[in-house]
Amino acid sequence: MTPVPKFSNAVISLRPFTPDDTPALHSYLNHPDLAGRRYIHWDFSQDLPLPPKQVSSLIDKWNEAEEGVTFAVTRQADGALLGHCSSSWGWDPHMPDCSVVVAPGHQRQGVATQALSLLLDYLFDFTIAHNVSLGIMEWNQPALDFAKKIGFTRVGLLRRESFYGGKFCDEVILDLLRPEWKERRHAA
Amino acid sequence: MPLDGNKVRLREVRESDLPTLLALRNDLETQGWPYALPTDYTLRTYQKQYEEDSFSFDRRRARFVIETLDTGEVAGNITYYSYRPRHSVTFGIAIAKQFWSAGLAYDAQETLLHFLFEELGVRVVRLWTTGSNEKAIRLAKRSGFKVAFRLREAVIRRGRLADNVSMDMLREEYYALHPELEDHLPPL
Repeated sequence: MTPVPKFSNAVISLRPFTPDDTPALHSYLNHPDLAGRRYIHWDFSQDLPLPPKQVSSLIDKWNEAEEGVTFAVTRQADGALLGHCSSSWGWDPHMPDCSVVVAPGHQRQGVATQALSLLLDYLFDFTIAHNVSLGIMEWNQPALDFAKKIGFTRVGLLRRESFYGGKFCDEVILDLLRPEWKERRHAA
Repeated sequence: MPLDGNKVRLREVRESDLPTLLALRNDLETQGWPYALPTDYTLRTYQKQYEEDSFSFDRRRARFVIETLDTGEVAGNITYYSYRPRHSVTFGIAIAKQFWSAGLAYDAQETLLHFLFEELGVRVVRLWTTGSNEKAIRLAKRSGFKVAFRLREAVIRRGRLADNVSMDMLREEYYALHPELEDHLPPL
């Protein structure tokens, strides 16, 4: 059988955003729990309230990107929007980055693990990625625990990456190499 | 007031510099940026880029020619980019081989750092190099940079995988190394 990329499992599905997603995306991006960790294009604020027009142009930006991909993470059962996940490789497919965001209310149900696993499977099985990296703000302990569980290794700190909560904050940089991912998948 | 160091002056690019800058770009030993390969740039493309440069007060990047103070020769260039005003900036240097080991890169680096911290008021300065480029790492450490993180096996250099190394220096680290200067900006 010809191998094809798998963008869904029994529970979730990854698909491109459409203009119809604007209200749901607008709603969760503006949730206070996601302030500072929206993982959206740097042209848009990580913490200011986003008007619907900006959310709509964010969707356009995601869909126009040629050297990367952003998916809507949806629930198979009813199509509900659960979050978004991205990877961008710029000019170098050897070293893409990645991110995953789950809307408050859908967190701690395994959505991020499933979404990131589908994305990593795609990157390692259908692109020549060797090093996939991830940046997480130092104060986001649940995300740091999550990245470790997935198999990422902490490789250092991007110091003073953001100013947040009255002080400069560092971003923890993590990466995952192809052999490490293969080994983990084999073990699973 | 030009940006003068002890051995070099950092000045604007002039049309007569273009052949020298082109030679730097087209030499595998002096351009350390895989994105810039292959080494087949032409004088025509450089001239076109030079002519299309338009006036702006809102610039997030700059390129200076490194001129020796004693003979006025063009020894290389130093650039900064990814400038987030008053927050962070990234820089890079290239020195023509005949000027290596004369302390010019260090002097150019110190001269630019003085400008970045004193005039732009940034809180952190960053640079990228590869793990195999020990000379560049040594040069950065000499001015006080520390390794921030290493993306493992993320770049290809001389047929091998090498780490993509990010180095950084915080504002207070710079002033601690320069007792002749006083940081008058209140800490954030």
